[in-house]
This record gives sequence, structure tokens and C-alpha cells, in this order.
Amino acid sequence: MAKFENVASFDSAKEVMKYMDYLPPETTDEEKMDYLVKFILVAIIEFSV
Amino acid sequence: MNKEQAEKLYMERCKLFRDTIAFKKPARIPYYANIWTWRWTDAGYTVSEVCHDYDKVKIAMDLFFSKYKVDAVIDSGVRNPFPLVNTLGDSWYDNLGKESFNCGDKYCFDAEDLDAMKENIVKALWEIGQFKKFPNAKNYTPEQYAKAAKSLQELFEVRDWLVKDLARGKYGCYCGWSPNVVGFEVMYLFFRGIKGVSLDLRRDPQKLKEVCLAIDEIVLNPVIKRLRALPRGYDMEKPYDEFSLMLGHTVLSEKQFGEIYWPAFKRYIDTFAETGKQLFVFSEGNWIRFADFFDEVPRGVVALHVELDDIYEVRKRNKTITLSGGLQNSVMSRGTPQECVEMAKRAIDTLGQDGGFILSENKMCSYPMDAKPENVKAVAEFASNYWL
Repeated sequence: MAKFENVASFDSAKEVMKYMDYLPPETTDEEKMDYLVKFILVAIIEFSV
Repeated sequence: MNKEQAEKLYMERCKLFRDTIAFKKPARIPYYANIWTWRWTDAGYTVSEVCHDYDKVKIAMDLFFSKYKVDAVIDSGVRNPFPLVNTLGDSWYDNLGKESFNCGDKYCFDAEDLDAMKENIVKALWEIGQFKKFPNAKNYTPEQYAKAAKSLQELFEVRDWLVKDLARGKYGCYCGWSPNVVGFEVMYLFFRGIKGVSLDLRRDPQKLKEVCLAIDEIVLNPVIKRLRALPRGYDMEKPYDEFSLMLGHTVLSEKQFGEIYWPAFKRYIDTFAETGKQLFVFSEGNWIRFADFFDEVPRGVVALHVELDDIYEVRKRNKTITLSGGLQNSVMSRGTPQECVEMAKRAIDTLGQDGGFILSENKMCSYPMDAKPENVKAVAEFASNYWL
């Protein structure tokens, strides 16, 4: 945790994934990354993807 | 209408689309409403009210479907979802609370970011793109960021309710769009904007092309892979298999289109031809000057929305692509119901007798003046009863 105090670095995505407990427990890291990319895209483009 | 009746109607409506896109005479021509935020103001809300409140989105959509007997609507209703956007601290808007709002002419990437985008588009999206729009989010802890990202799940739940429970389950209607677009389109619409890509095209077209290919890797290629893994043929529970946008061609010459846009788009379209599926392309601006490229597209695979071109001229030029349009917003907004019905009848009689046509407003209905409610109602009533 000390390594990533914020999410400025792409490497922190791994740390973010640890807190994504709202996704089903069987969700893989690859699927979590896909989810985060979708989240960023929707935030930027402002419609569902 | 009970749930069984709604489901029966939904499947009938999907078949109307499938038949007409395949140039097989449908029972009637479907009315695909190109109606967007108009629904919100028609329900008595301001745009800002609905953008910030999913409950109002649901109410506005329910009201729309109960009033207008359209076969399908392009937008699922969750456009500009501020409950999600705000989790990252948005600051690009003003005039919120009115019928419309303004957004600064800003984009997520600058010309000096192209190398980083080319090298690793996901990393660039994370470290550059999102924080240009949401600078405060850079200081979020990983836990705070994960909490913000939960808003996507909430958005998906709202969208699923609108698409499955409301539109399909209650009204037998299709709605929802999840556009898959070529890399140039992403650059044009979202990452660099009109001005940005126009400069990139002149300063370093090769680098722009390479960035577009990098975007294709994460946006288009997974869709192509998924389509190829599906059983061959249509999914009859959908009016078409995928939805795409064609908007960025408006800033390209035919030569530029052939170099930077068409190769990826053709590869995408070819996938539908090879897998026996159908693609709906929502196009704006003038399309006809690119018609030569589409001569390669087999009959019955693609439906194309026609905005600014004369749809009757497009039909003369191209015989293999289903055309969507025929309802001029200028008439929908200022004409009488009778004039609108006559316009719909002429379009169906001229363009749709053997399939290959979908009835739709040529321009997006976003604001109250884009169409009169009584005209939408009259056209929907007419189209739902005009059997071929």
C-alpha cells in the first residue's frame, strides 16, 4: 500500500483491483482491468460501452 | 400488455429489422426512433435533472414508451451519466440545469501524447487521458478509486433495467446502443477532437495511423474475436448484431478515408459477412462521397443511417446496404401530423417495398423543437399499422 498512495501511476491499477470486492469473487485480474478500462472510457465519453 | 405479449412483440420487431436488413420483404417497415434527450424534456424534465438522476431516466423512458409506439429507440437512456462522471470530479461543464449545457472544447490527449498512446494505449489512457479530464482523481487512493469505479456497475444495472425490464419486458421494444468503432473514430470523437485529429492528419499522419491501430487492439479487435467465436448467423433476440458509428469521415478526404479509416472498418464489416451477421452503422454528415468504398459490402449485411444526404439519391447509388432515415426533422418539428405521415408513407412506399429500409428521423432528436410530440405519435401509429 505504501507504494501506491495515489492512482497516478498505471501500476497502481493492481492495487485498485484489491478493493473491487463488488465484482464476483471469481473475477480475474484481466477481467478487472477490462472493467477499469471501461470505467475510464465511460467517464471520458459519457455513454455506456 | 402482459410480459408474454411484450416478449412476442419484441421478437416480432426484431424479425422486422432482420428481414429488412437482409432485403427480405418484412411484414412492415420498423420505426427506429432517432430520439435522444428529447425524451427527457418531453417528460417535463431539464436535461441536467435527468443526467444526474437515474430514477428520472427511468421515469422519462417509461413515459416515452407508454406514449409512442415506436419499434426501437437508438439510445438506452443513460447518455451523459453524471452519477458516474462525478465520482472522478468532473469540471468541464457549465450551464447545468437548463435544456442544454455547455462543455469546454477540451480533449483527453494532446499531440505530444501520441507516442505514449502508440506505445501502450491502456497505460496512456490511465496516466494521461483520464487525468486530463479529471485532474483531482490523480490523488485518489487506490481504495477511493475502486469505490468510484463501482459507479460503472450501477450504470450497467440501470442500463440493463432500461433495456431488459422496461423496454423489452414491458413494451416489447428494443433500445440500447453499445457502439464499437474504429480507432480513428475514437480519436476524432473522444481523444483528440476535430481540431486535434485535423492537425495530426497534416503533421504526422503515420503516427496517427499507428495510434488508431493501437486503439483498434483494445476496442475493435476483441469484438471481432467475440463475433467469430459465436455461432454463425443472427441472434434473433436482437434487431442486428452490433452497432457502430461513422462520424469522423466528415473531416476526411476520400484519400485519407481510404488510408486511415476504411482498412479497419472494412475488416470489421467483413467479419459480419463472414459470420452471417448484421451491423447497424449510425452515420452522420454526408456519406455519399464515400459510396465507392461500400460497393464491396455484400447485400444484406449492413444497415446505414443516412443523415444529410438525400436518402432517395443514396438508394439509387447503392443497392446492397439497408438505409435508415426518411423522416426529415424539419418536417417532424414544423409540419402537421398528416404531413409527417405522408412523408413516412412516401419513404416506405419508395424505399421499403422489398426490404432494405428502416424508418427513422434523419437527425438526432435532442431538443424539444426537434420534433413535435403529436408528429412522433402519428408516425409511430402509422408505421405500426402499415403492412406491406
